[in-house]
Amino acid sequence: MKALALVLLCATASAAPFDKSPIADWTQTPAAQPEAAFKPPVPKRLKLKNGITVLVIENHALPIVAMQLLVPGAGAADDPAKQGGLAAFTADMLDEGAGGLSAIQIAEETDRLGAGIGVFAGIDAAQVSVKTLTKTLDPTLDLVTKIVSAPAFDEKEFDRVRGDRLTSLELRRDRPREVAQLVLSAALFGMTTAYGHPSSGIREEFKDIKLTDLQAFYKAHWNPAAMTLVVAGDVDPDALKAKLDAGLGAWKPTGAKRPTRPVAAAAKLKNRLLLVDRPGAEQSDVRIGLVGPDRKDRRYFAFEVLTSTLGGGFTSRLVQRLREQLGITYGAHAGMDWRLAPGPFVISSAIVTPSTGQGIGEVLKILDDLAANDLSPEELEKSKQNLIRALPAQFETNAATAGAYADLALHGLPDDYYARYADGIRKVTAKDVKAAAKTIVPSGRMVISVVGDMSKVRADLDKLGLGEAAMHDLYGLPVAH
Amino acid sequence: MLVALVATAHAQPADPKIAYQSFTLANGLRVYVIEDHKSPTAYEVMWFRVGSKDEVEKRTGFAHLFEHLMFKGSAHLPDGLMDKLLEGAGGWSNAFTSSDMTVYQNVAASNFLETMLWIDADRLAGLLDTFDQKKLDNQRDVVLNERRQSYENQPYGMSELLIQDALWPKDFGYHWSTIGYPADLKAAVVPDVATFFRTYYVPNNATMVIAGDVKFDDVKALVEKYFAWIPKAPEPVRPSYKTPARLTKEVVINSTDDVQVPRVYLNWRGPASFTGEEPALDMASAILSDGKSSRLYKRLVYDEKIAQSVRADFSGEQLAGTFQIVATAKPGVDPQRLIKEISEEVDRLASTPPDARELERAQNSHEAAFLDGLEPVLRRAIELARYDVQAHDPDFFGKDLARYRAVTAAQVQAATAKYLRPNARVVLTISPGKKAVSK
Repeated sequence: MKALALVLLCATASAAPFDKSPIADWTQTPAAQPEAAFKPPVPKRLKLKNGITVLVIENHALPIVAMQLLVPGAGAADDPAKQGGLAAFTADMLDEGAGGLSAIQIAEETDRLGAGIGVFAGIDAAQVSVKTLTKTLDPTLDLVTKIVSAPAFDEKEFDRVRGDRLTSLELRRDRPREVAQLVLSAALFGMTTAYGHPSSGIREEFKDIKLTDLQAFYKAHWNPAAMTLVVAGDVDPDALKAKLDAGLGAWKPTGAKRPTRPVAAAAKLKNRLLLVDRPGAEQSDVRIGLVGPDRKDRRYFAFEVLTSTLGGGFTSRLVQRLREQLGITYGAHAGMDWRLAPGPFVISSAIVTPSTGQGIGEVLKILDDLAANDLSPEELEKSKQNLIRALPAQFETNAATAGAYADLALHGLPDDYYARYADGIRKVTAKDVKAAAKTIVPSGRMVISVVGDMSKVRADLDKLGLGEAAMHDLYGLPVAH
Repeated sequence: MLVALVATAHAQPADPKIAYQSFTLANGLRVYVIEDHKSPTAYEVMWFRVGSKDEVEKRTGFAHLFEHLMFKGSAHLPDGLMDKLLEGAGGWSNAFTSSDMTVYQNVAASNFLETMLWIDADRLAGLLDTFDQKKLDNQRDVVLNERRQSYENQPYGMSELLIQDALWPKDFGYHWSTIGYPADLKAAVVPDVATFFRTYYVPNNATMVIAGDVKFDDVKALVEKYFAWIPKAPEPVRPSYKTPARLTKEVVINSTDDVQVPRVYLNWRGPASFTGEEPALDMASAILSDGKSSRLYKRLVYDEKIAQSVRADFSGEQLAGTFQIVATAKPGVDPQRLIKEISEEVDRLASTPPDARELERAQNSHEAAFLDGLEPVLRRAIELARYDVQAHDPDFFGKDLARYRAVTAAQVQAATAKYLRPNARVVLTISPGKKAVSK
């Protein structure tokens, strides 16, 4: 009651007196100042004796250093057949005992140094991400060298990590977003292929992985000659070179393979609509996608503008339609996963259960429109400028800078790539965007996965005209008829 | 210059201080400027001193719902224009709401600084001029979807709502969650928006930080031009609370969700942020669960393999804090065993001071994270606003680091013994079953 009385009182107050402001015409957007010049950092290139390429980007603003060691060919794309998850498991084991230190000792030493060390397997590469303080850089490098070059692969630690990873796979059905993605990737590329299997594996295969498999994978795929180490932050390149030559650079293993480009291509599709029943779900986790181009495709910049327009930000078509006009989701996103071989183009959203069919129908309409009509000059310019002017933010932190240059190294792109990025985007025309959309996004080629309450969404999904649906279980595996 | 490093006489690590300049407008708006020219980007933070603790009965969730409405246009900005302008300038616009505060962030290429200020002045002076029922209805739907995505449709997602409800008394501002009850969100009407806006969205209830590739003199001239004319308002009259004392008994809650293994949550009331015992409780949480050698991780996950994960965390807010320990069971493990063993480790820390090396590791990790946090300009800007609003001291950066360096093992033990008592906690267990119906 108190609140209501206050409302009545306020309703009689006048609106803010804009006429009292010193601004003559509030409807005029202020003119922008001249554009400031931006030059991406220029890395200094070094080579270690064992073939590791080192890129150094000095930044002395804070007494901290970030590093990224890129290990091409040690990602999930290189998992052997029937051993999905091997690359991830191998990476995970590197800091579980190494160079005479136990797993616990490595963890304690890392904390004592104020450092952070993470070893992960991505799809096309594995990576070691490191953050540390300038004052503890040398002992941190010693620790990283042990982890990378002398992992113990201890039996006891293997059993423990294996147990943790198996449990995580058993709990996958509690993570519907992951399941929606898994189902889509498996359909697009084929479940047993480099890009089609989940990078953490599936429990039916994972349980048979042995310690000797990890040791063999490590020996063959953690190849210094293929690695790039990017170091960004408060470092002296000469001192760093001396330290690395005596440490990581002195590591010369035998038996490593040269990384090869993953073999990945669109699978022959039996069904375009892939469903997982999750009774009681208030929202449906939806993934819509297909196999797009690879990172070196000459239409890269046109695709960047296309995905930005479609689902790259708040003003994108997906967010404006599904969230701001229809109010049926909290968010929607579209993105191209740029990989060595053609990677997935994916639209993702969680749509409120009763509107699931409607929401997917709206997405398909938006895709067809992009393939049929030119972007307006304003929308094209907004998307292009968004990409160009957001580039500097990629170098805001040492870790982001290291990541940006590791990405160039993975794809064999030149060190001055980012300096030329704006030109690449500026040249994109509405015709280019439409041509890119025509090749991949018309709705007739899209594959759709939905994890949701089928008793409530199925009837609407069947009306979308996507053909026969294929059912999957709560782990994302096909249900036998 | 990013950070002034001031050397001390004892060759201790230098104390970081954020280089800033500041001024306050006659209408009460406090403004800080951080010049950092590394990247041609400008950042604006507007921190309003209003959060879900300031909500009134039957209107839980309103502070956050209102935050959404600030993006739907104002007197001279048609709905959607602000995002078009900022995204076209390589930036974005977003905000977050908590129990204590609502914080808006704008980012754009630095040559669009004036556009950012024009946008924010227009919505501060003229949000209501173009506000209508349709905008409210649309964003209410979006917020209900946000709630579904973050709570209902999330495994174990209802836990935080159940805990807040049990940990704090009904008449205390942290009893309800920031997302709010669906029935209250549905009950919100346009006049609520007007009242809330006129009460809290006033210059004397805000702190602004402009950071990045900007010059102090330019910022001062522009902020004066766009904001100085907006009138000062009465100080907001907000609900006032007496912070409750510690619980006097153990509260046990059992719930179910569509999950495969149980998860347990142990929760205690703690002190407010920026009070004396906060650093000791933060160090206690690190000693319990940060890293493989931490006490709970080592025992439950590493040695005994009865938990899939464990995490301890202290979060101090403006009126009070919460200490929480969360553990997820391995399949087949009785959650009671997790509760028992966690309690044993807490009791051990409460009765014996931690080892010097344990504390050193926790302090070094904290210091490294603290330095990392200074690197992104936007995070630095938000930290400065937080120090201004919550610590009442914009020069708190160095002092903040110092208070963590000064924590002793005896203080960690004493704070643990004082707050983490077995008979003063809320213990929630979520077991596999049917998803519990939400409130």
